[in-house]
Amino acid sequence: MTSSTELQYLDSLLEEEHTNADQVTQHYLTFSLGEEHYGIEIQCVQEIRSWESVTLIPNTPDYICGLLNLRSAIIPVVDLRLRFEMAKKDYNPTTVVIILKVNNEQRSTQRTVGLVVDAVSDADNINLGEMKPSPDFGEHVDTTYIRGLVSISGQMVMILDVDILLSVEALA
Amino acid sequence: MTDNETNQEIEASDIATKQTLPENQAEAIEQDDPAETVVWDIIFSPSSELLQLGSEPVQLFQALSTLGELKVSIDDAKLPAFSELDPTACYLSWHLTLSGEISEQQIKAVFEPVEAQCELSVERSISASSDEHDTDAKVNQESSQSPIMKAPSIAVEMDKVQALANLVGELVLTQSMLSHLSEQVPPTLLPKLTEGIAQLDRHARDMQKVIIQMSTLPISTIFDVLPKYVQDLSQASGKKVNVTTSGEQTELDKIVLEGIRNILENLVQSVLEYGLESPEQRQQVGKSETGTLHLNADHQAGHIIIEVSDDGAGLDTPNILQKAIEKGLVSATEKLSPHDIQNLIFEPGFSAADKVSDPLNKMGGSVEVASIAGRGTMFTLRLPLMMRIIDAQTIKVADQYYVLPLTAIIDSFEIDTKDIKPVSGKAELYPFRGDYIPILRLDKLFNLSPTMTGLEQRLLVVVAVQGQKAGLLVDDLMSQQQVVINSLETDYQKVLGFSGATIMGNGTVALILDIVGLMTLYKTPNPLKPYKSDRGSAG
Repeated sequence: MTSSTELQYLDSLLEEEHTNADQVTQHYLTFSLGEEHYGIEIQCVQEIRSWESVTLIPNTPDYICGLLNLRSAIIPVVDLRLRFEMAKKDYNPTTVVIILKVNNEQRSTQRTVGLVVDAVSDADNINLGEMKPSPDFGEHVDTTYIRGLVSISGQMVMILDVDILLSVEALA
Repeated sequence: MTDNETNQEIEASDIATKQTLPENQAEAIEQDDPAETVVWDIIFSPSSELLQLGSEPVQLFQALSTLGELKVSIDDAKLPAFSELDPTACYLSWHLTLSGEISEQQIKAVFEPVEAQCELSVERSISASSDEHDTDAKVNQESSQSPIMKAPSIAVEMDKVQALANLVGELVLTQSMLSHLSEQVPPTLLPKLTEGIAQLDRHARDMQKVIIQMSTLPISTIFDVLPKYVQDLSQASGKKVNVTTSGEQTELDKIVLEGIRNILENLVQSVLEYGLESPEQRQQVGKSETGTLHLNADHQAGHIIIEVSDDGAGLDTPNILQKAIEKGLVSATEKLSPHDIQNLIFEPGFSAADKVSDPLNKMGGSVEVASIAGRGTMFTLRLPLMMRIIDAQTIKVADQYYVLPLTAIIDSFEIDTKDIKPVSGKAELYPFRGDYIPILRLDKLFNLSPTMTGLEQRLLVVVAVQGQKAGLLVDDLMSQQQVVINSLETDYQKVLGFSGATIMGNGTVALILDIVGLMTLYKTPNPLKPYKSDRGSAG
């Protein structure tokens, strides 16, 4: 879990990363789900918020938590644990919601989606040359939304493609 | 072609280049230096519904004539025989010649508002003097002689106006939230805050007014043509009628305006047919031979009110009741006020339902009738000022709040459990006005775990859509207010049973129920696998 001061620190880091966006290596935000570590392109990250209650959307998959009022925009919030069919964890004010900008397939429109994760770790520079392709797990694990694997200070981090992970089709 | 025509053509380019040159030199300039002065050949072939959609070719041509020298000629080849002519359809196409320092984009921009309703060809003229339209000069003169002087204007896409309108709608909501909060702060502590909020309130409301004005037109666009329509009808029926109007400057949303035109035509048609008596009948009861039909429009609490009143015979209340009983809309034993009976004419099976109330409901509007036998009838139409703002009823189902468009609601009452009729253990019916309507248990439909155990004290909200009635079982009715409809598709996708979502006064999101979708959901239960399931057995 992440404390609110840490959140502020990460938010300031985010701002810094956004301003340095023209550097050669790509910047990734890393976060954890239980013992697993994931990375997403920092370009997609709009902000990091703590959990607020949402409005349920009836008859949608369980990983769609509901709708959130984000400064008068009504956005869906997705629970990544449930999306990956991991055990549900109760939400509390220290639960983290990453607000992401998701492109459609043609990259012509953008949607804003909230992603519930256990904790945000850090913002890292990742050299794309070091990224290894994800092994094929066949039917066991859907890897279409895993862009590749990298190692950060000895830990394996799965780099996610949020455009595929959170596409309209994937959320239906 | 004659020499005379060639001269006209050259004159045009002379004026555009503001030079006096011999004929051949003028032509040379156009060809050598096209960046300066270009002659454009424009063929504008609008679709037949152009005029019905409220666009005026004259206005387009006036806009073009501000860019450069314009010549207009009409192609009336598609004009049908007089007997087949639909006065509201557009059969004409135009050939325009425009010269001046004009880019293709500038011309296209002028036609942008009607882009979807026309075929447009914009090409650079090969030869400035190639013209065979001998009506050019005359038409050109006509168009320049009808100067409807207007304030300078720009064409803005409706989408952009709509986006701005949405933002202002939200601003108004934010403002009301702030002012709600400020009430909890002692004004002695923060006088500046309350002052600032009052100012914000004024600005937000002013802004909303301006936005609404941007996408609105006065109702006079309809009121001006209806008297003619009525006169034509009355001549055919031998009835005499005098049409008066008031409030014709009342502005309403262009989309609403388009929808209301047909409804009003249907309404005045039935007034002439059934409401007004023949001159002889009128004389017999001591009325003047000529009947009166009055149209009035007004703003009322965020709505447009349109009243259509006549001094005719009034509605035949006993006959309406008789028909309603025959159609099974009401039972013979039911006690109804004359007002209730009169408003049955908007129920399915009566022609006023198809022609007036159904299309009106679809637009978020409603209609009511009041009539006194022998004295006359008044129809009152209520329409939302803007399509995106609706009057809504907040309902509570389990621990969730939903919003229901007020126009969909017919009645609501506490459910009497002994009146529930089970159907093969799966469905439930409830008696309502001589009919049996299905009960839609919203908590089951939405897979919510019920917070109330029994059915006692729960409410049945009777809704109607497309002639079908249903009772929505809810836990409680909360406040009524205006809400701004937000599409779910902006950041998510369509959800069956909901037409959108709105942000409530306390900042939370509430889904807006879509009755048609709810009925589909009811008929095809569990379109998705059940989940979040503590799907407790309600009741």
